[in-house]
Amino acid sequence: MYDLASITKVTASIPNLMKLVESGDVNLDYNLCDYLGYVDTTNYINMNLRRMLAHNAGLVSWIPFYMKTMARGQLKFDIYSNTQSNEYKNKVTEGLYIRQEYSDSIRNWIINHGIHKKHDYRYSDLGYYFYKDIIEQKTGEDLDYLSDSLFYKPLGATTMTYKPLEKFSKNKITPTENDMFFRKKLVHGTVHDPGAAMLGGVAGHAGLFSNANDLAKIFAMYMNHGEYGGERYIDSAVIAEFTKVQFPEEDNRRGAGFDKPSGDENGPTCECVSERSFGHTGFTGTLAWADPDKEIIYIFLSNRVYPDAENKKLIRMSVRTQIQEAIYAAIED
Amino acid sequence: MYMRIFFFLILGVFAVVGLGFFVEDDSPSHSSAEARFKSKKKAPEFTQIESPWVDSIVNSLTLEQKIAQLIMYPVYSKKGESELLKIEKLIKDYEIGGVIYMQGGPVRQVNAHNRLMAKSKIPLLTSIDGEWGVRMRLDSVIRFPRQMLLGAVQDEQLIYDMGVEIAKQCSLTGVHVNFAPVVDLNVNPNNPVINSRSFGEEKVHVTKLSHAYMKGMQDNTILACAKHFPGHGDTDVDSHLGLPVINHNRERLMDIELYPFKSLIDSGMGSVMVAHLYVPSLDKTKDRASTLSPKIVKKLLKDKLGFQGLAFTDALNMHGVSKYYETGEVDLMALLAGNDILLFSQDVGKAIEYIKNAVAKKKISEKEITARVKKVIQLKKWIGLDNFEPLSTENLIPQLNSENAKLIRRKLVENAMTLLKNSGDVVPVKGLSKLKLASVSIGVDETSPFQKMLSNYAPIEHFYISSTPTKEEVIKVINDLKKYNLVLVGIDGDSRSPKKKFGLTSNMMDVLNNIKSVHPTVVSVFANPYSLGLFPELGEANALIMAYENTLLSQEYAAQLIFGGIDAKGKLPVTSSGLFKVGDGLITKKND
Repeated sequence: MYDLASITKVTASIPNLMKLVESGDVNLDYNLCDYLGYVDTTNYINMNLRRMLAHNAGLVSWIPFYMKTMARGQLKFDIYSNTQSNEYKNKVTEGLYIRQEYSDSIRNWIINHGIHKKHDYRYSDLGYYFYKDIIEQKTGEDLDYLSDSLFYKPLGATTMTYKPLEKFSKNKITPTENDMFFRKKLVHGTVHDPGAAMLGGVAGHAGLFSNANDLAKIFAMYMNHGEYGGERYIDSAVIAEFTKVQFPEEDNRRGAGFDKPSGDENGPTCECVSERSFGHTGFTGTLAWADPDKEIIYIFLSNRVYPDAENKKLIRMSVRTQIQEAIYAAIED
Repeated sequence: MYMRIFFFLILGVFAVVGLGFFVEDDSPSHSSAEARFKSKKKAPEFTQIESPWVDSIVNSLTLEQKIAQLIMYPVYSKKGESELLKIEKLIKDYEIGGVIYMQGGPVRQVNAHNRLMAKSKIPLLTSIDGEWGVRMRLDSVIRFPRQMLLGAVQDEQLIYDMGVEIAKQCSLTGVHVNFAPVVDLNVNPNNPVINSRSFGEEKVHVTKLSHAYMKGMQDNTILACAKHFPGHGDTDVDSHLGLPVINHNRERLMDIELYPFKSLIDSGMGSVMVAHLYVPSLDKTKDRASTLSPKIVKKLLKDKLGFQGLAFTDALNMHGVSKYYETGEVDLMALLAGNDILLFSQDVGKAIEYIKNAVAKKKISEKEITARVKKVIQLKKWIGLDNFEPLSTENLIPQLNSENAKLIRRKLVENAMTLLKNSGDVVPVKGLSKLKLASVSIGVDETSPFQKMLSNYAPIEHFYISSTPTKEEVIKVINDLKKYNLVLVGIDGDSRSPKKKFGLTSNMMDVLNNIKSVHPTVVSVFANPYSLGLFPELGEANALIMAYENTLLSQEYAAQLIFGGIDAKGKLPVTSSGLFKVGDGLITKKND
């Protein structure tokens, strides 16, 4: 099993959001403030959901939240503890727990942060902290429970899970980074993304683990227009809506949550994929891509951030896209 | 839309070669077939060759040399140097016309081939029994499924593709004639020698698949061979050990057993192998095997059915003929009966001697022998032996085990999986959240590939039990199963021996009976389809999948079928029991 990193966006937040769109509880053309009262007095008040999902709502790329919990290179002792307790409830990694209220602090740091006024394309994780709130408020359930019961369990995606150490032994999971700055240990079995770690492992943008086989199942469901194994999960029109380019007239290739082909060599895939194809990459060196025209699902999982995130050979050598190219070439021969 | 991901491992880059293929739409209907033989028949391509090379060879041969051209001697590449020295001596002493390659390995065989070819003035004609590919005799090569499994496949293009791939195997290992397909209609569940080697019992279907297999090879200059004439499908005696009797009357034989032969001869089948059978309705002579019967080979096969290709005897060392006659005498009788090639001659010197004497006594004319030799040399020309180049062993094993070959094998097994029963549409399995799934493999000593594949679809607890479990083991498994509400059972047997009940035991059935008396079950049978007749309890499961063989792929694809990763498309090639008849097979269909 691998840390899926940002593939979590399209396998946890997005399917749940699609269910809410399907039921009419969420409309992508509404603004964030229509769903979350706490943004009413901030820069985020008129932020449009569809733009957020296409990464052109003006959100900054990222905020290093963990830096705010450190001083002189050390974690602040009043925020973290080495043992879990009611006070220090959220597990960052093994032997490191954080005060639960820091979930709220992260949200406050975001909404108090400035935004870009222009609608330029700028990839950002931040929207996913809000989608998690929307989903949990609308359903009254936690994102991890909801995802498991609505999707992973009925799909038979046994290994797809947040907080994998609660279900699987460590030796089933690949380690990610030997983190010298924040956690100061090898991250193994807990989420690599610092923000998701500070939420206790369950975030809208990261936190999910899976093997390739189970990740393929949820993508097969998307590719089959919302059905898998004879059962319907999501309305086909909603899937079509989310997997299409949202702002084709702007310089923006994105779907709603899903990434889309760029049409040139700078995109997330090889140039061989069809326009209808969709998927997502992850910082840990992952890629999931479904191509309905070719009926190909390509899953590449790796822990390229081991031993550290500066290990960029996978990216420099275009390993993921070259393998994808070889697959397409083999099938088209 | 019903679709689960299906598992297809791409182990490297493979190329799918497009091949034009169509079946001629003129397969004769049996009622009027006999009248149409002469006009419709298509002589094998090689018999039409006219060439100075052929004529100069035929004209240069002495009578002894001509007789030797009709002899095919066995070569075992596994036996090493002493074997090769023996064959080289036969080539030097008699100039034998051909060899049949027996057990060994690809590299050893190619080396032997090059060496024997270098010693032969006239290039050798070579053959093999390669029904499921050359793996039937050689190690280190991919094995295609037995014809019984293939008989479940409805798409004959896949059989053609396999024929092309097997032709490639032959070309790479120095083989010119592949003694395949078996066109016998297996109508006897107890048939000890044909059985799983047959495409099934239904004559039109068997003929269709045989045609595809033949064409796949012959389009690639490997001669096919329809066997075993006049039909070995309805016996319970192994002709390796005795002389089986076929008691059907002439009309029945013409209508059923001979149907595939007639049809394939009409569409260009290059060779036919004559079996050692006693068929009183065709030749009443006591102990006279069909191989040695002029009425069966000359009159029926050549004159009546109009066959112009090469008639091979079945191996002349088999007890069906060898126990009744002298060495050498058998060869002569086979030749007199009308056979062109004497396969597995026991003693080349004696055979030539007997035949030479017969020519002297005018039992057979030299002209007749010359005509048969000409066909052999024409075939050698068709193969291209007038320009023989030694074969390379470089990269041989990877070429024999190409990704394309593996892909074709996968498709064959996938297409063969046969869903025979599906009460309440339990297959494909739905509603995983509500199910508590367990699997039990019966007849194994560890978790089976079937179970490992099942795990890819859903959380499943696996249990296994050997073919000879103790009472305690049975009770434990039954107890362990209590908390589950659907049990997926795999029955591990084999495809081959009816005498050994295809590897299934009543102990194994006790386990199954215990399980299905409590739980809904889906049973997958990894054994010959006739096992359904021997063990009717198999048919009492809620759902039943016939997987024909006990291989990694049949286990994996049965598991995929259970979860809807693949469609059920196979049809039963034989009537297995009172319940499951030839042609049965439910279709689960994917929608778009």
